[in-house]
This record gives sequence, C-alpha cells and structure tokens, in this order.
Amino acid sequence: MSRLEARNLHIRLGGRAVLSDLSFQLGTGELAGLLGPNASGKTTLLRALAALTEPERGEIALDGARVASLAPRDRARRIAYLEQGAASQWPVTVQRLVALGRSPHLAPWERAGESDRAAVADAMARCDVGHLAARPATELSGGEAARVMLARALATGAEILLADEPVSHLDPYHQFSVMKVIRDHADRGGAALVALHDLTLAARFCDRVLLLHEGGIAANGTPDDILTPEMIARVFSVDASLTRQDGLLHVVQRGIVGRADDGPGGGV
Amino acid sequence: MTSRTGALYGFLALAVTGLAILSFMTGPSALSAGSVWSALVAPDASPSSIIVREIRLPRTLLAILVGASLGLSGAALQGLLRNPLAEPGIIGASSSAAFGTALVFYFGLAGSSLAVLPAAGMTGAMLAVGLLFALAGRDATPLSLILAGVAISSFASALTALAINLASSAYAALEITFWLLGSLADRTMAHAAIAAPAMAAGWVLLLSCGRGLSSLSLGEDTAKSLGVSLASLRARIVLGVALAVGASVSVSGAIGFVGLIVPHLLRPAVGHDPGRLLGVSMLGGAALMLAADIVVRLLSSGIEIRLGVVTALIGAPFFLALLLQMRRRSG
Repeated sequence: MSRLEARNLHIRLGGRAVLSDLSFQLGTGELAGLLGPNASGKTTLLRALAALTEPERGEIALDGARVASLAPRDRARRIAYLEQGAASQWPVTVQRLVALGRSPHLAPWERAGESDRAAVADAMARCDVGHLAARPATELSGGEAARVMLARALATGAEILLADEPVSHLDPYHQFSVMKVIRDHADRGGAALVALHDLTLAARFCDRVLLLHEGGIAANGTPDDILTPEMIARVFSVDASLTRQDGLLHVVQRGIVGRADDGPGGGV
Repeated sequence: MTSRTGALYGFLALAVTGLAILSFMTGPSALSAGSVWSALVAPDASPSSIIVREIRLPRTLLAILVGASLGLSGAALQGLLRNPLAEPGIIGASSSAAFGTALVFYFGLAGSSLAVLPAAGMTGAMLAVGLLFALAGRDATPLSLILAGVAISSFASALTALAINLASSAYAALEITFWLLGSLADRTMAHAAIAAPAMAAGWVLLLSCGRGLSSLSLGEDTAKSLGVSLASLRARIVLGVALAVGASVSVSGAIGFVGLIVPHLLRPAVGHDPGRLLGVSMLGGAALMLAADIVVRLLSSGIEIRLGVVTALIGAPFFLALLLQMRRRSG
C-alpha cells in the first residue's frame, strides 16, 4: 500500500530548477534508497517530503492527505526527518537528545509520560546507544553520533523515516549497523527513504532504489533491475563492473566514463 | 521535572528569599529582620515601618521583577540564536527602550504621569522589534538577527546621545545620563504596579518557548521536522523580550549583562537544555539583581553607585572571559 506519495513535484531554489516533474511512491514496509550524484536533488527531495521546503508546483500526500495541510505536530508524529550531519548545539546528554524525538507528542506545557519514556528506551535499544545515555551529545564519535541521531528520529514513533546520508563518513561496521536499524524499521511496518552514496550498500539493504539525475528520476525499481553498468555510467559518469556473490550485488568502480584507464592517482 | 531540577529550583527560591530579606534590612538605616517582619505584617507609623513599606519594598520587588525579566530574556535569546553571547542588549531592545525613556526626560514629561516612562520604554522596545523584523525578515538566521540588532542598538544609542547633546538644560542632560546608568533607588510601588503586567505577559510568552528551544538545539530543519513553528517561536521570543525588557528598562534604566551571566552560570546545572534553562534563569536573575543591589547599598556612602555600573563592571570582564573560553575551545 502506498503511504507517501509525491506527484509532479517542481522545486526551484535560488532561481534554479532543482527538481522538475518528479513523481514517486513509498509503500508500507519499504526501504527505498535515494541515489544520485552530488547536486542531483536528493536533499531537496527529502526536505520537500518533510515539508521543510515548499514545492513550486506539485503535491506531497501522506495516506492520501496533503502533507502541507497537516498541522506541524501531526506531521511530525508521522514523518521523521534525519538531517545530514545533524549535531547538537549544546552538550545535552544523549538520553535527553533522544527524548527530543517525543516533542511532537507533547503539548507545550505537558511533561513526558510513561509511553514517551518507553519509546525513548526502545529507540535507544534498537540503535544500541543505551550505554551512551549519560554522555554529552557533543562528545561522541562519528559512529556513535550517527546512531544517537537515528535513535532521536525513531523515538518520534513516525512510520515514515526520511534519512539524508545517515551513513556518510562512517566506518563499514557503523554503516552496516545503521542500515540494519533502518531496514528493521521498514520491516516493522514503517517505511524509509534513505539518501546513500554507496551503491553496494544500497543493493544490500534496499527493496527499491530511486536514481536521481539532474533533478528528475532516471530510474526507479529494484536494485537488480536498476543498477546496471549502463545506468551507472549514465547517471554517475563512472565505469563500473557489477558482480554477484552469494546472491549479493557488488559494485566496483573501475574508472571514470571515457577514461577507463584512470586508476588510483589517475586524477579527474 | 527531575529531582535534580527540583532541587535547583528549591535552592534558587531559597536564595531569592534570603536575599530579599537582606535587601529589606540593608540601607542607610540598617534594620533587624524582626522590625522588617513587623513592618510588613503589622504596619504602623514608625520610621522603620515607613522605610520598609515605602522605600525597601518597591526596591526589593523591582529587583526581583527586573532581574527575573532580564535573566529569562537572556536565556530565551541565547536559545533562539543558539549563541551563549546573546542577551537583551543584542537585539536592540534595551537601548531602544532606553532611548524611549530618554525622550521622556528630554521633553520634561517624566513628572507628568507615572505611566509615561513605562509606556515610552515599551514603545521603544516594540519599535526596535518591529524594525528588527523588517530588517532581518521573517525567516531570519541568527547572524542576520544579530547584525540587525547591532545596527538598531547603535542607532538608538546615537539618538540617545543626541538627546543628551541637545538637552535644554544641564539638569535634563544629567537626568538622562543618570537614568541610563540604571538604578532601583527611589522607586515606588506605583512603578512596580505599572511594570509588572507587561513583564508578566512577556514571561508567559517566553516560558511557552521551552520545548521549541530544546528542539532548536538540533538545528532549524530538525526542529521544524519535530513540529516546531520557527516563525511563531521567533515572534513569541522577540515580543516577549520587548515586553519584559521594555518594562524593565522603563523602571530601572539600562542594567546590562544580567541576561548574559545568569543563563551561562545556570546552563550546566540544567544539563545544558535551553528549554529547562528558562525557569531557573528567572530565579537566578532575581537573585543576582537582589545581590547586586545590596552590594550597591553597602558600598555607597553619600553618592550611590548606580546598579547598572556595578553589573557592567562585573559583566564586561565576564563577557570577555566567555569569549576567550569559546575561542580556545574552537581553536
């Protein structure tokens, strides 16, 4: 069943058309990877879906209702947004930072209740950050911070998770563990759209990938169907070879399109 | 409320109470706690009773009201601008309110009605806020807000200087200058009664921002995605600061740095959460203002040292130390 739907989305930023006539759907239980080169519009699309930027034309609907017409707190309870490189300005504890995810559930003067505490504890357990609870959020390693911010997003209890490059700058272990948590979120009946740069990681975890190219969708389908040497060459301008091992897709970049001899030190 | 926050509130409330008692006892004629008590519960026509009710009660009450307003405004602005250096002076509210009151003295209207000064102070603060919105726009970033505030603040100070410059008599110029130094001496209950409603309205607006400010510590996008309306948050804080600070300046003159120091000292005690900082900064501001006003009275013999001078003498080095500490941390 389709949950989040974008129809004929057009977005201009600073006079430049960033997204043009983009349509797609995200269904229950689905983990979709949002792939594309830098400046292809991934962040803009995620921000538009989270109602952080207003489309020039087109519509975004959640279960058939226009997202723009939802009250901010209602929307925040149903769509969680994980900003790229999110960080806390003040050294609050991890426990308190994750608990901020509950703020859409609380009226201005209301205190957190039992269900809020349970949701925070659950989100922290799923992201394996329980042992960090008392640590200042500004003194975490990159991998710890990524999991803490993910826990904050999950603590909202929102079905839809929009994550902007949640595994950038992470070591392989943390990339894998973060993606596992997001996969698990989708498998529990949620849905997630995740901007990624690692094609192999996308193929490993995503049900579907959305390839953005120059503000439009170049391809939309299962990783097996979409991730082909031809498509990768067209969208990313890299010459890639794809191999399959134990049923898993591996993408190896051999060089830049038209300059297949470019190895390490070959320059760009 | 965690038990730790509860203990902090208890401690601060105790400090405010203790300092208020000291404030009643301190002055040119020192009074015992017993005579203060009897003057408050069983007023009579004795000199000590009159001193307590007519002189020390308004002074103590205003120290609490003004201190709470400045502490709370500072905490809210620091949360909104995500900058520990922010304070009511920075958005131009203090200096514009001061200019409003300077105009009243300039035209010799201060004696005409008690309501003139507060009305002029709040009008000045409101104008500053209106101008701030016009200059910085509705979706103002912290930087553009600070820059616009500095511009407004400089302009208001220049206009105040002009008023002093053009004052018709040396007496009027002196009156403006002394007012700008900030003091709580010789105020009446009428001053407190006129300022209190505007301050209370400002407090309610500012205290309603706690959760939004906590969310804002994760950045504007994340805060919005958590359901915070940034436009409403900014409007409530700027209006709340204008009411609270405008009313404060109009009864006490310009008293700086309380809004800077208090939130900074209390921040670690509330786990650095900008939302939880609001309430405790009110009590902390009241305590600091009471303490400073007691010190002023203890130091003074003959010419009273102005309260604003004392807070600036303590506050400016504090500001510098804070700046150096931040630079060391980022360098």
